[in-house]
Amino acid sequence: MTNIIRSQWFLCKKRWFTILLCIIFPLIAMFFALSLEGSVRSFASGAMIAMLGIMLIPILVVTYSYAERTQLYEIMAGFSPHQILLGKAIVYLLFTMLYLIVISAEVLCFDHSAETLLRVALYWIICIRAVLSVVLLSPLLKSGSAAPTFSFMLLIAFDDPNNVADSPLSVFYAAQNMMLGAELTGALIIRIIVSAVVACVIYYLVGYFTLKKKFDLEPYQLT
Amino acid sequence: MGNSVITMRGLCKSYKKQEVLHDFSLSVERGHICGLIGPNGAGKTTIMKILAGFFFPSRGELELFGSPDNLDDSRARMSFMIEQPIIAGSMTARQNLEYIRYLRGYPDEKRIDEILELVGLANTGKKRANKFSLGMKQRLGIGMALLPKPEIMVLDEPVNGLDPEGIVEVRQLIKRMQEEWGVTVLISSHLLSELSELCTDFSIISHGELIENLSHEELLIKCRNHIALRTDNINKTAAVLEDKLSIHDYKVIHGEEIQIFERLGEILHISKTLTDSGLIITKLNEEGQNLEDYYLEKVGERHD
Repeated sequence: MTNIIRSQWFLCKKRWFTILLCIIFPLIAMFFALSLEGSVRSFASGAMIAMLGIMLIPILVVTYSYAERTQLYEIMAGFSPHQILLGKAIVYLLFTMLYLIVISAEVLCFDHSAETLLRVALYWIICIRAVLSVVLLSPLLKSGSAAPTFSFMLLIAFDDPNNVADSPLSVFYAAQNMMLGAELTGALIIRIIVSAVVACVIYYLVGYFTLKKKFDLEPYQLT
Repeated sequence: MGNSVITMRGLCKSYKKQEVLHDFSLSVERGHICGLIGPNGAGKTTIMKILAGFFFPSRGELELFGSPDNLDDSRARMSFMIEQPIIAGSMTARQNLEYIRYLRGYPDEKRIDEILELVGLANTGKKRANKFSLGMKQRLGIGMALLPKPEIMVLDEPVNGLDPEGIVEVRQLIKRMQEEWGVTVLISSHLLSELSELCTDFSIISHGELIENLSHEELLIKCRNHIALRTDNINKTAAVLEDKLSIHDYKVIHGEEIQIFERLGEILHISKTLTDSGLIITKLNEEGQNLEDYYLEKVGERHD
């Protein structure tokens, strides 16, 4: 698994400039959202852009590796599905953590009330889940962008956080991100935590069995 | 079978309800170079993909390094180059090799320079791999397969797109790997003349079925010089050869031609005897087969 971590780290390093932009732009967006509106609602809109920023890092690397088929080297080198998934998850979660620390510090500079702290904590859970959806579902989807696209597309029809909270969409991380701008209830907090745990287990199982059972591992038609 | 590093027994593979591999068996001995020969769609790449772990066979057994267990662990001792070389086009040759070094956990960084030199890509500098010619990509793919010093290399069409010089270089490289490092190679190529110079064993496959396994020595015997003979009556010719000339070491090919493997210096005597027997000779000359002729004959027989 160490080799998977090192190789993924290497791939990330090679795209450092793009990754830097992915980090800087959402930070700036978050800054403006917070300083212009200064409300909990502005946290949600800034958080959405910031989450897209952090997801772009695994999306970029994963999409490239499937487009160029380099992920097949992981299979040819004999790594187990667990090693492949966990190794990648560790690398991208490390990026996520670092990024979230900076974002959280930025938010808490504006408002460090207990409620904001709770929103930030929930935001961490949502972001970790979002990043894991990209990494762990990639063996099945063969694309880094398919899972977040699906999640965000569902939101197009639901732009009111109050509507989303009462709909089945509330189990999706994109919707939950929007709900961070609404009033925090006990039910919402539990829903975010439980759905994140359940979703991450499902993501892992889907990724694991796709690799284990070798469900069409190649992105191209076999000859 | 004791020294076999790749053993396949009765492998079958169906893809979208179409059977692309049927009851295929093959054994590759340690240190040998085995050439997988067959037309497009014969199942060569499927065999290699099963070895690489891209999918499971539908039926049959696969053993790597003498064991059917822990195939993934065994794959860590192997390298593959299947179909077109898998390279990250947005990275340089060095970066591609570095990626493999990290992934395979090869400790020595100097190995990258060695490989770049070996495959002739040392002067590519910061040029991205997607700007490489097909031949350069092919050489980089071979380099990436070579980097972790594998015990077995599986190469699918490794000389595809290479110029004649490149083909010779790759051939010499594979020979060197086998002779100096004891690497076992399973290779497929359309250039049968290349394979005949390189391989110690051959496995002929057509329509997903094994036609014949044979060693280089067996091939030489089967392709030995002979008198090729065609007449207006093949059955009568065979009878004349046996009764009047006492020739028994001959073979009838597709009912059209006879190949005589004895008394090669008596071509005039054979000709006169046949003519005196009332036969009209349409072809009579001494020739030898090469791997290509042999392969075409074998595949032709199967189609007949």
